[in-house]
Amino acid sequence: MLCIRIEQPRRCFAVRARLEVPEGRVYCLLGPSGAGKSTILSVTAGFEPLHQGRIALNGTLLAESAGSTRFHLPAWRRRLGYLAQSTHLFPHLDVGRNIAFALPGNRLDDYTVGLVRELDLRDYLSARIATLSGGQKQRVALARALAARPRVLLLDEPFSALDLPARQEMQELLLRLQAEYGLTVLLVTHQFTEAQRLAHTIGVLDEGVLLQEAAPAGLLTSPASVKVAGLAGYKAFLPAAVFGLGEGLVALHPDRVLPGSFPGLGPVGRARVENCFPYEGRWRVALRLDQGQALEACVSENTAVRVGEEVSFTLLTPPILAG
Amino acid sequence: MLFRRISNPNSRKREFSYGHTLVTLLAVCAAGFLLLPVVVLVSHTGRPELAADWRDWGAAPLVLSVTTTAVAMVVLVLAGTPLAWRVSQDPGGFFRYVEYILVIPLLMPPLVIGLLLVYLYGPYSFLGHLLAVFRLTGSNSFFAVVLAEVYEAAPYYVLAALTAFDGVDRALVHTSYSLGCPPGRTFFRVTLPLASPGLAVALSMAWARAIGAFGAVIVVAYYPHGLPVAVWVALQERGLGYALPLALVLVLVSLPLPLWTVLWRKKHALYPD
Repeated sequence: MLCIRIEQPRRCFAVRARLEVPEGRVYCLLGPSGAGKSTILSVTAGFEPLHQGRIALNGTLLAESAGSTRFHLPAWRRRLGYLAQSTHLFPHLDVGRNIAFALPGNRLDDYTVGLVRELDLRDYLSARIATLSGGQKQRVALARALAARPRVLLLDEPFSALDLPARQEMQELLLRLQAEYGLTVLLVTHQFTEAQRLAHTIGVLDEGVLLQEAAPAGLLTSPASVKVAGLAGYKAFLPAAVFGLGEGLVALHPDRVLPGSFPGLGPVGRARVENCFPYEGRWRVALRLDQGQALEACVSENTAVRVGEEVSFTLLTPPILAG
Repeated sequence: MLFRRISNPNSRKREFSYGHTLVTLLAVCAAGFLLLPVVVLVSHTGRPELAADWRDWGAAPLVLSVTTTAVAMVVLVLAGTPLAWRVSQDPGGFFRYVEYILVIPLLMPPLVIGLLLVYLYGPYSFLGHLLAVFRLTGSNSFFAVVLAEVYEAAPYYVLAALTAFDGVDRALVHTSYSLGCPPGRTFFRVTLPLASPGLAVALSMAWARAIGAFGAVIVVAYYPHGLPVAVWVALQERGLGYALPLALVLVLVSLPLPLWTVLWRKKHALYPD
């Protein structure tokens, strides 16, 4: 179990968070850019000193700073793997030497050979780093980090620079390796879809404050605030009174607005179609209610929707948030 | 190249560009400006004068210049490299001020450097007496030449080496730490290999500065004569015709290290085109 209690001053705010990553699980810190996610990772990895708090792994103290007590285990003694968006591969070493960097005698052992096979890097071992594609570099960096047999893998938006297919491929690969080797992972990302796919638990961080901790499904169905709902992909927040749901705001996620009237599934409404456009491989319709509020819904290619016509829609168990 | 290749890279056609032409002309002027004195040096060096110089001087100035400069380079690499690395690691601390202090010897006229070195290390100074215990003297000796060369070349080496160390991505060092590699091993496995092209440039700059050092050297050690002092003495005693062959020898002797550096950098480029 990785336990982090941190208070770290940044330029505009202080990062104050407390989180626990259970052994063999993936914990994801989700938040917008500049929320303090990478700070937590950097301090945990030992790259910068802890200002206030305590970080421990399975009872072993990694860093502590409280009053006159100061303890900082150097990064090279923590055995925490670190992988960032920029792969930070050593450009003067070939792929094989990069992967074997942490190994005795810089030679691949049986475990690492298995990793290399798993990551499909056998044909690239003598290749120069400059000749690799973005996805290949990430696979080499992952193999290098895992070859050191880290107790926890710290991932700082590792796949955000990759194109969609490469990103999805890396996500599936990470999931497979995580399950196979029982890896403990602390992942940082600003993409909810990535957090949703990879994490057992998501912690939503904004301006250094942990707003909510939940399983991906729980975060989607019950976001604690408008901010969290926004990060989870909710696009519109309309007064609940519009749908006769009482006080507060109804959070509307395009994936959870169904075209058509299905009163058994949730509140039903009517709106005018303003636009219809392709979005991430599917179609989205922009709708406007009579009261003037806008919302979006995802539709399949076969759904016949004409701009200007009035359609019914159903909200699938929309979360109601405090206004 | 007064014509710029047009946007299609496969096309052999080129279009005229005033901006490109101006840059090319300026580049040609700069190259000419740098090369012309070398052409004059080569064309005005006569074989009889070269033979006469060889008879008069023998190989002694050449040997002295090469050996003192080689020793100076060893001293610089052993002492200057740790200094440059330490400064690069200390962005806000004491060692950052060393970077500013290093600029001062760069600005000092070599003659003044020589005078200050005599004042500090000459036989009548405190440090001079201390050196005498080790049978060294800071005036008119092999040691004195090395001392002057080291002082003149040190800022060039340390500042260039500092730039080389600053250029190593700190994230790579952190990555090495996260892979369990402690700072000492990280220095030799990551920092030094990545900084080595810059360090090679630093070394060749320092070499060029040290082997041609004249102002400080002539003050602290008129004897024994190294090549730059020998050029001066030949000019004073026998004229330009006898000074130029020695200067040509100095250039030819200085050339291999910087040339090797350029070739080595090209061969070991981390990001080839």
